[in-house]
Amino acid sequence: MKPSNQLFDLIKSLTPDEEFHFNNSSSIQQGEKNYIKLYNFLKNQDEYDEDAVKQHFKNEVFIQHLASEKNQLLHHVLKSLRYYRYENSISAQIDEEIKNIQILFNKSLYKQSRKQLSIIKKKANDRELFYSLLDIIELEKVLTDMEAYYGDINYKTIDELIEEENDVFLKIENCASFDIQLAKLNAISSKLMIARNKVDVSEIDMILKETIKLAANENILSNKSNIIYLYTIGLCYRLLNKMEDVYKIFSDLIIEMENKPEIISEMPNYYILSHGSLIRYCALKKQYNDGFKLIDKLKSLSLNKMFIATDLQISIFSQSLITEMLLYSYIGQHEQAKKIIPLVIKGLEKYESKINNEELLRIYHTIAMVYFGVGEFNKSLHWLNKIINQNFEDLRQDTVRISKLIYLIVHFELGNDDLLQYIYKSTVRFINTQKNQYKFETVFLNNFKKIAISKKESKQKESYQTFKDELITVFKDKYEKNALEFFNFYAWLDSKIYNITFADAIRVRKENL
Amino acid sequence: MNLISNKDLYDLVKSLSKSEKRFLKLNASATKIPIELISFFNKIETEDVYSPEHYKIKGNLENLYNFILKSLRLFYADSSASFVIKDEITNVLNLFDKAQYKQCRKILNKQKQEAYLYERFHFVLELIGLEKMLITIENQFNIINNTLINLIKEEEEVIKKAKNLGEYALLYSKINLNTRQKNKAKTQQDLDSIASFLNSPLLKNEKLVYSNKALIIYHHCRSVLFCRCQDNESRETECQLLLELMDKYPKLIEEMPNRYITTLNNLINIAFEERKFKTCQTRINDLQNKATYKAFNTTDLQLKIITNVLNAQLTIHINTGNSIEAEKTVVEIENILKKYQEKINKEEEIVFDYIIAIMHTYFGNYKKAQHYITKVLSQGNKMLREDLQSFARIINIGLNYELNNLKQLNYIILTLKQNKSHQISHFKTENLILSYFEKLAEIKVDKKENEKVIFESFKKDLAEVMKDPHEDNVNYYFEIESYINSKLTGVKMSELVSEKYKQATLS
Repeated sequence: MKPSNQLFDLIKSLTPDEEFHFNNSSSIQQGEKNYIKLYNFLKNQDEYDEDAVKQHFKNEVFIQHLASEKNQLLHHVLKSLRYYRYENSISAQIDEEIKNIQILFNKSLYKQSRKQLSIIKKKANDRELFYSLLDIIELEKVLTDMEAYYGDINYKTIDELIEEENDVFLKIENCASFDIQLAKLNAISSKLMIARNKVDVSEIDMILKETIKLAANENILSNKSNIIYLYTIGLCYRLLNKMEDVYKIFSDLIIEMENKPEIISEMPNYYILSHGSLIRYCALKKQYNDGFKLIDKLKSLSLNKMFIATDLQISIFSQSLITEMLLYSYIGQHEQAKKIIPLVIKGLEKYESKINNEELLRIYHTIAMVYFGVGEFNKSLHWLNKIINQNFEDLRQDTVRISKLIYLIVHFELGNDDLLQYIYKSTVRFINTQKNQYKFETVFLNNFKKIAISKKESKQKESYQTFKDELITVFKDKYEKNALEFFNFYAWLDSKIYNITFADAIRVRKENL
Repeated sequence: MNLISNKDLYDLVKSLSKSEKRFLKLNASATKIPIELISFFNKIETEDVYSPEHYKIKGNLENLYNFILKSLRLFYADSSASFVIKDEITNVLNLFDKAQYKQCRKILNKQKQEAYLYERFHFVLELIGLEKMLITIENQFNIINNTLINLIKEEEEVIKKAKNLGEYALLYSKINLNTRQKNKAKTQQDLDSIASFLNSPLLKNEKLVYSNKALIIYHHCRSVLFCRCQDNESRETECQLLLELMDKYPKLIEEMPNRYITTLNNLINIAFEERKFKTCQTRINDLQNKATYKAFNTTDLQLKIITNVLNAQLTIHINTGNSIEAEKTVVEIENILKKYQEKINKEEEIVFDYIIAIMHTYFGNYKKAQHYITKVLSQGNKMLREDLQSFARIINIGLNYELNNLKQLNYIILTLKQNKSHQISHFKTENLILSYFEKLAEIKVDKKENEKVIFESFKKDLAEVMKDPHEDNVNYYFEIESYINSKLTGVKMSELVSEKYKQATLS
């Protein structure tokens, strides 16, 4: 790894504990250290600026070989992170302890090597650390061979060890076969939040059946496989919008993991994402209190050492704050949701380059909807622009398409009449070029043209009602209805028909339903 | 449960080299380890003998033990390939956790390449496991470095290689177990068993070999089998192929150092068995010179080299009648055995004791020879180097005969005859020796003057038995012909042996 601004990113990503650990381990070496000077300077930069580094250290000799000094710093930061990890992660400790087996063996202390091996192997087995187990078995083969020279044949034979090794291979392959199913599903879920037509449904159904068949034919050989299996099935149900099944599977998955906490530390992201899916269930099923409890549980995870990694913090950030905003929006408490936005923006500033596009889309869309809910259309427009002006290629086209329609609504609300005609035409062109056309989009565009472009003021209310009626008809199709997940079109139309706020309309609809 | 004993700590401290101790002390002062731990360490370090009363504080015991291991891990962090790769894997994990995906990818690619070079299939699998996680993230960022399908294919391929390596390791273990029980083939049954191994699909040719590591074991297995059936030409070819392969891929020497040393030792043995003592000495020097290889920088390997070298040197000194050098080597061996005590395995101990016994027998020091033969016979495991134990029993009879322990002799012969009836395979010569010593024991009691007549008949019958080429192998264990000639001519056995192998010193 060559140091560039990647070194800067790494330094900036250190947590206070990690920084403390780094400073502490650096103090072991006596005397003045150039890499520490460099570290302290970089830590205080907001953006990486090599010229500023050179200027600051212009009188230092080391600046003539800055590249090697950066390399040195990088080496020390990585080393410090490794030792920090050994102190805080059991699987890392196990990997470190495997070295003890080798060291004792190399010193011909075979009995001690065997003692260490027995302890570490049990730990690795309990945590299903397949790769560590393979290392241990490899060492055990050598040790067993050596023990035979001493006439010590009280442990496993080479045959048994090779059988054990093959068993681990089988478990790895078993996990891999479920991984493939999940990858196929992820490819679909990166494009869709929910199945929007029969083609989507049949694709997802196929994966669901294949996964269930796989589990029946090849069995589920480990807890890890079981977690991937349950997650895949759960995700299938989520995409199919079969919410009762979603609830059952993800609840089972969480219970399964909580019964074996060591698996949580091995597969923490599955644990976080499963909570995210349950929160969505609670929102849809109006179990708001349960939803908020789950959000609190997720937030508390961010303080747990097991979830200290940046990628997990990001996952918790998006699964908790975003779902919290969504939950408030579902119940029409957009003002409450708005209070969360500064925290989200802070999180975005911290993590934006590290959050994947799929998640970014979801975040931008949610913020836009919250601002829409409180009537701050300009701000809503700002976040919608982030979706529309950025090329997300194939990612989450469902969100992008609906955002384009909401974009029209926002301009309408802002009274940007001049722009509206142009944007409307552009949106129609965009929708027409899409592979799958939704009836709902046609209904929306036709009716929107009537109310916004034609501007028949006298009959506006009637137009809204017709708009709503036509939507009711089109949403009888359960797949078309999924569009409501992204924006409550009914509530918007109600707000126009009954002259109330969008948030009030949502609340009224919730009460009436 | 605390599994670390006081003796464990003592042994660990005592196993440390000077540089390891120096590093440990530096590390202790830098990491501000409690002073009492270091005092405790110093106390153990100065102890010549283990004294349990010094280990009263349990907490100190564990803390010190763990601290020593931690220091050793640090000390060897950059010198062991597996430690380096493991640390880099931790770097990959840390960078992944920090969402530094680009850096993560760079290190991952480099380490995967490295793990492939070392044929560390388990590490490759671990890296593929990490790459699966990374690919999922990269896909979300629209970065395509690899696909999951490709990775899973790669994983299958690596597992296939690892399993194949396991099959060869298992095969080697079976062959090795057989060999440790009986080194050389003695009967047609033994030869048939060797042939069946050599013709098995895994060993017949290289078609089923999927990696260089497996190829190394393939050559190793074949060389062991050729050794057992006394085909030294093929055995040498296999050894040379193995060394060529490992020299071509030096990383594999680091991976399988034991096989490299064993092969060098095999070449020494081949030269000895082919009676090319000059070549043998060159190969001993070669092995000695290679002791400085970084890959062999561990106690067990250094010990293996030392024992192999001393063993070979003593054998040559004995066969060239060089009693002064032989005695010097025995002193060295005794020192090594004393210094490393539990670290020398039983097989090596048996071999040492047997060769020293032979040396004393050839030089006519029967009392000393009997001391070492008794050690071979009283080590407990009857299966270990069954061939040496079998000959040790016969030599024991000869020694008792020479030492006039006639009362014990009849009893020993009787017991041995009973044992032989249970033994699966043995040389015809062994039976012949046994039957003649039975006769010799009788006449020694009754008519000592007939001893020469018996030895003449013994010589005649032995010449007949030796027409079977396999029986010649007996001479590797004991120069029975020279012993008989010595009895007939009155010339020292050692002189006859060195005369016999005079030509061997030239090639």
